[in-house]
Amino acid sequence: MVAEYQPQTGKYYYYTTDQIGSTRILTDYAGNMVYAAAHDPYGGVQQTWVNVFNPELKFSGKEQDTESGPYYFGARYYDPALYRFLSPDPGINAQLGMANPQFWNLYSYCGNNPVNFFDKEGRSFVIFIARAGLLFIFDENGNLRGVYPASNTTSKKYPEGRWRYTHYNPHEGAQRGDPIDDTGFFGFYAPSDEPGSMGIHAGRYVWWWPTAGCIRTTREAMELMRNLHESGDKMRFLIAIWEDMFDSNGFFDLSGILSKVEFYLRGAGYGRRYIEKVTRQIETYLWQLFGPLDFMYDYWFNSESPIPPNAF
Amino acid sequence: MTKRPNKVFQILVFLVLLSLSSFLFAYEFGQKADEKRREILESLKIFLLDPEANFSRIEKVDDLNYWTMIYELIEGENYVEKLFFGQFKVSNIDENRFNIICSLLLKYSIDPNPYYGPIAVIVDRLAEIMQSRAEWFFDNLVKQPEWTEIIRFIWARNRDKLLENIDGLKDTNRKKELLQYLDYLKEELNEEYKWFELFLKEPGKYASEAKNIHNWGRIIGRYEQNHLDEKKTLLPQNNPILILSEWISDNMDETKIKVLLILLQHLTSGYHAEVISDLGAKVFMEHPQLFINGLKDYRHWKFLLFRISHDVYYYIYIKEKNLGDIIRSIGSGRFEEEVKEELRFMIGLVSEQIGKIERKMSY
Repeated sequence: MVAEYQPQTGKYYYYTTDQIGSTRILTDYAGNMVYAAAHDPYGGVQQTWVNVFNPELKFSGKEQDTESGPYYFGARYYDPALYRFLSPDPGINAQLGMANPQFWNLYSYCGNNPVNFFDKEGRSFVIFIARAGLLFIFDENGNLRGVYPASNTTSKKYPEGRWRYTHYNPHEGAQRGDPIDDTGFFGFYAPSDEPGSMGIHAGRYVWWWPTAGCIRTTREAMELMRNLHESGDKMRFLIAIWEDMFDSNGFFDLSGILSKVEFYLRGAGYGRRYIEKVTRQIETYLWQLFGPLDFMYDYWFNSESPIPPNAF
Repeated sequence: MTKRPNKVFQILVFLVLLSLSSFLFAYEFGQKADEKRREILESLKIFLLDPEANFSRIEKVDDLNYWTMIYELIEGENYVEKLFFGQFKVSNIDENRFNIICSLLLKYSIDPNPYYGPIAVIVDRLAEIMQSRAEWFFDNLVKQPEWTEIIRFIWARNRDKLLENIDGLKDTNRKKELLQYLDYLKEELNEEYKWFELFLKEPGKYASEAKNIHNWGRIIGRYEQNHLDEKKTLLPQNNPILILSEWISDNMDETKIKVLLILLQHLTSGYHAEVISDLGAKVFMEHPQLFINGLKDYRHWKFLLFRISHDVYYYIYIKEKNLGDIIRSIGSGRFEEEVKEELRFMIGLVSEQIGKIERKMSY
């Protein structure tokens, strides 16, 4: 955010931030300084020079809860007085926690190294619904930014679960038809994996070409994920769901899929309203895509394809 | 005076006989190979029904990993998962079944990736048995002649469970012995990581030691995580797989083929596997004879050839490379003929698999 609008006064205020997005200076429409402060690496206020206006965003560009003092970091609240988050990191699983002692404390901020790292929202995430052959990409506010075809056509399937993001590998210099092309590779932990070898990528021209366990998607999907990554809205996790698309009666099991999504998001520490927002968007998309139940029933029993003909 | 036969005619006859004999040889070779395939796949099916009674059949199968992959491509099901979920449940493991599981693990360990494939399924089941009756498990484990190899896989995949169960053992001598071995494995991993850092800087200088490395996947993964920037991006100059690929591709020689084959054997899942198998296919198509000469050193060469088969098929399918041209550029020794026969078979099988997926996706 570069400016804040105050509807009571009808005035704009302009932000100047430091390297991690904390508000250093706020000026009004006339260029007068109305707020100037410096934060220590853990979010405490080191010094305040000017304080005639209380900005909405302060430490790390986050909104502060004026009642209790903690900052809202999207997935959870951070308390600068305690130097820690108020709930455990939703993206850290037991394996990762064991691998790095800095993650043994799931409440720590920036792995206890705020000088070298910063914790941006970290709320982008992707949901792979395997049976539908779809990858849903959400931004930090839980808005569905895109849905793309994706596949895991291999006997080494990506395991079901919520997997923490490890890194982005831009794979520069690759050609379009290469197994991983120049849109790169997003790595996520998996319980049975060396760190970050498994993930999502495009390549090989077609999104359904077999992989060695990764999820393959389109260049467009990778470009969107890369744009989110490069704009600083870092990826947080991947949810992979292998729920059958059809229940035991052969009907489209939308509720089964949505309850899995809800389960994994709740495990990540998201609240009811946020989860509802996400699941509603998936539900709407799947419903529009697959149409009425009788079509689904007919479609499923008359073809082998998990994807309807008009999907893409 | 008798007329001397025409020299040209003599050469012509010789060539006809030669091509006829090589055709018959190849035909017979193909027939024998088909017969062998049928026999081995039948053994795998029979083993599924009653592993105890039919273990001797599986014991005889060389390159079990390769045959399992072929089975999975043909039958479309995960063989080892089916075997373990059907026949090796935790509750019905006695000493005999335990011995069979350990032997299977060692037979499959030609693909030493503990993360996916047969090894992962078997190691997970062993860990479950260990969890259910630790004392019994370790009593029987140390009776295995190669128990240290078995522990190595459990440590790589189920380290926490392993430590927890060793810690709970009543026999303090055994506990000490096992913990000492785990310390050794930990140290080995650290040493291999140090070696890898040097290897990346000067691959040519350190390549001869590559064959002694056990933990390829783990050291590469660790290296990547240690070289991410503040945005968690792995820059190309820090990407070990790209560094190695570039080194291997530039001025190909026998040493580089050796390193490539080691990587093909060890990196069998995820990003690393895909980049390396693609590189393997490219090298094979550009330097077939050099690649095949490297394969000769491996008793389980079919598994390595299988690792590049999808990528070779990709270049035939999309890039319109000609399989005939590739095969013709390979020599005609006995091993070369075997490779050609195997290649034809694998490409045919992959083609069927891709065709099935394509029909499914383009409905």
